[in-house]
Amino acid sequence: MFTKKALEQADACRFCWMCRHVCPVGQVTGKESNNARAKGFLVSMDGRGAQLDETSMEIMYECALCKACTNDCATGYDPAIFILEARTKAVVDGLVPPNVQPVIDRALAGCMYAEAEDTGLAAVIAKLPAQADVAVYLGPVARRKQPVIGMALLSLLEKAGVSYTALKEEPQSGADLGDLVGYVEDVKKAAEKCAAALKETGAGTIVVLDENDAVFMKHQWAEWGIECGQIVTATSCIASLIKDGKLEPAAVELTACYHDPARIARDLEEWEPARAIIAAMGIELHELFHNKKGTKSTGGGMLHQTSPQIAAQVAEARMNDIRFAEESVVITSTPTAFDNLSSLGAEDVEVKDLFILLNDAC
Amino acid sequence: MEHRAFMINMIQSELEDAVGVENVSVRPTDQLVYGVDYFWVARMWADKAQEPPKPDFIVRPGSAEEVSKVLKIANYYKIPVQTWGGGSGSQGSALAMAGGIILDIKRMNKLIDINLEDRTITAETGMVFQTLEWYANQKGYSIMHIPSCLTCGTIGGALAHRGIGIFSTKYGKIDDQCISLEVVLPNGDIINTLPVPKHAAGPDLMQMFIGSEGTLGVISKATFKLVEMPECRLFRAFLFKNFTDGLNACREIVQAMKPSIMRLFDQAETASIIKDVLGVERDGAFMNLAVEGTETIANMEMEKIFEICAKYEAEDMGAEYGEKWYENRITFFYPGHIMNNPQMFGTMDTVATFSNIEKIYWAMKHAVEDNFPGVRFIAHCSHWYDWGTMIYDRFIMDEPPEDPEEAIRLHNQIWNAGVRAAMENGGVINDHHGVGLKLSRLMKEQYGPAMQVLEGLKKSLDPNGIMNPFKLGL
Repeated sequence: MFTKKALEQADACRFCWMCRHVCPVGQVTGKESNNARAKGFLVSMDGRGAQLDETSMEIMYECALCKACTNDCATGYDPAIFILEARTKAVVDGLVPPNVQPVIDRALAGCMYAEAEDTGLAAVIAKLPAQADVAVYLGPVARRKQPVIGMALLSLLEKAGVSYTALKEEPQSGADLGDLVGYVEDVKKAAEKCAAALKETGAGTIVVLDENDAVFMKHQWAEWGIECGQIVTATSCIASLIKDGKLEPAAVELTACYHDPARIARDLEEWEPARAIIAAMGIELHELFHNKKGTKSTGGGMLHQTSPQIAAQVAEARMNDIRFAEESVVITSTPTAFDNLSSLGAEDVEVKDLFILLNDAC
Repeated sequence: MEHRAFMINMIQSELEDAVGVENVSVRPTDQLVYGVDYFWVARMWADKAQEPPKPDFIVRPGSAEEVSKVLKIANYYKIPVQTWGGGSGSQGSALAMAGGIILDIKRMNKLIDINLEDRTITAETGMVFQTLEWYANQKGYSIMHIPSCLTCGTIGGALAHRGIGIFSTKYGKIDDQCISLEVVLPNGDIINTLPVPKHAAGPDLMQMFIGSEGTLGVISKATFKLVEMPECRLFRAFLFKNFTDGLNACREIVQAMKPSIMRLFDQAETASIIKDVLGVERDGAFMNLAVEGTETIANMEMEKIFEICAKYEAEDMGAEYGEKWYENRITFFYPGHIMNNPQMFGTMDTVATFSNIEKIYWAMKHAVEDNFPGVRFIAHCSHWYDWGTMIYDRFIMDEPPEDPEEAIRLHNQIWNAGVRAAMENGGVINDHHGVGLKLSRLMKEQYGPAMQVLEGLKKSLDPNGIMNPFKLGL
């Protein structure tokens, strides 16, 4: 069932503990099973007389796929490969844990989030043209949970004079479904459907707002040969508009730290555009100790749906980093990170979204 | 069988009452995960599809008070308790060889205090050591305990096995860096060692628990010294004609000053690992070191080092190899670089005075290579004292027996031969990995009649013998 590549990773990880310190889930649960070593060991033992069962699969789903372990590995092994394949096996063998199945069901139906699309944002999108030079892929969190961020991004493009549009009905990119069931044919079909919808806009550039979608569309779509214009992150698009003088923010009197979204920082190695935007507003930036490629996850998207208690602990741990640095304002640049941190309701740390800040300053 | 299940459920519910339902597991998957630590035998056993040693219960306390409750329950039922931190120890110390409870303390990972006036940091012992170091770093300090297991071992693991880090020659071992401890005794009492490590209030209580490997209680909280980050750190590498010259030069260096790093590799390790990782393809004994502190003092120390190395006709290899070694110091331990199954291997680190150390090196090398065909022996010295040094001796067998039981017996024969050669020549059973299950049988040979002191302590504190049975010779 597991590919040779996945088994190679598992056999390398099964007796290696070196990345334990960076696993955001293991750090908060303290469970031995919540690290790449334990997961690799379970996968390796699957072929050695101890079969993966439903409880093993619970463990496989207790992972934010933030790639901190992969980033840390000095010899380049990638635990996400066997974790994703284990999730595929869970689906195929009927071993999906009960807390995960409803999330998969929702994702298969179109979106893993239960919340309805925001009508205010939908109304804004409804007025956009069918075709434009730039298509914005807002992602499910902006469209359902944090619409103000989506509106801020669209407003910025408007102010910059960009010819842009967004999909009235935005199909899933496949990123969330991929996290849930592995990169299987159904996920590829979902990605192709999304790409086809974006192609219909005629846009040469696709601006992607959220982290999971951005990485998936840039990397996995390319691996599958799915083409639909140049995919860029929203931060890099907006930073370019500022650099080109199309957006001229007023100074914002603020001292803050910045949380690098894990997947964008690690998988795309992109962290400068957000800092350029912050600098353009004249905000005094204090770097967090765990920043850029070494950032910590706030729990991502899927984990908050499948294991909300663990995900909240992961987000709280990131918030505690901010507190330890004695910062009172943190800026985020993706709807997922904003949602994860702001939903903690911290009274001592204010969470601000980069696009909302910039839109107010322009 | 049904009767056992009945009783297991009774005990499980008591444990759940102590630490919370979500923090007790009897799931086979969790039991399997705790069946392997870094001990070669445990790894080989699993690799050969043998059933790993499994605990009956995995219990994850969140505080010393919860540890206390668990130990009281365990004592009542006379259930073995194995404390599990990172599970990254190489001596099999965390394995549940007698079943019972695995007490995973990683939920106990709170930072308690940073006191910049006293320059101390206090935390619960389930915290991964790297996390503690990061907290110190964010305030401009370090604990200077930087072992290869920094990222995977816990504070408790380092203390339980008398760990050591790469800067030990200047900053000491974990037992030098620790100020005080909180310990949960086997009967559930929570005690504190004295608030400072230097005193004349009798024997050193703290040192009785450091290195006790979970046999005398559970270390639940620890305070360490903080050290200011050095203004500069200068690296240098040298190549000696042979290991003997290197040993003599290093002795002179360490008796004149305290480098933070000083690692001398024998010819066999220079020709294998150093060649592979650093690209040094030369005959001889490679040595890399670092001095640090204020720039002026570091430069003066480096000048003296050059003088001593020149006396032994060492070739100056420049700063680059030393820096490269430092950058790759953990890379050595990742898959692809570190020895791995199916190889058989082991680190027989020992420590001795300078007058004995070379004799020990040759005695161990002969004991291993002459008696066990196909086994290689490589070594380096990496932690130095005014009076002596340790040797990080490793044996490697590329094609061990296929049969797991035969492999265990051969493994133990090699260990017996190597460690006995060390002990017979003035060496100590282990320098910084601990004893665990691996060397338990040799503790009486090491201590002789003195072992009764440790046994007396064990009997007094743990009369039911529940704490980590079969480990540490206790």
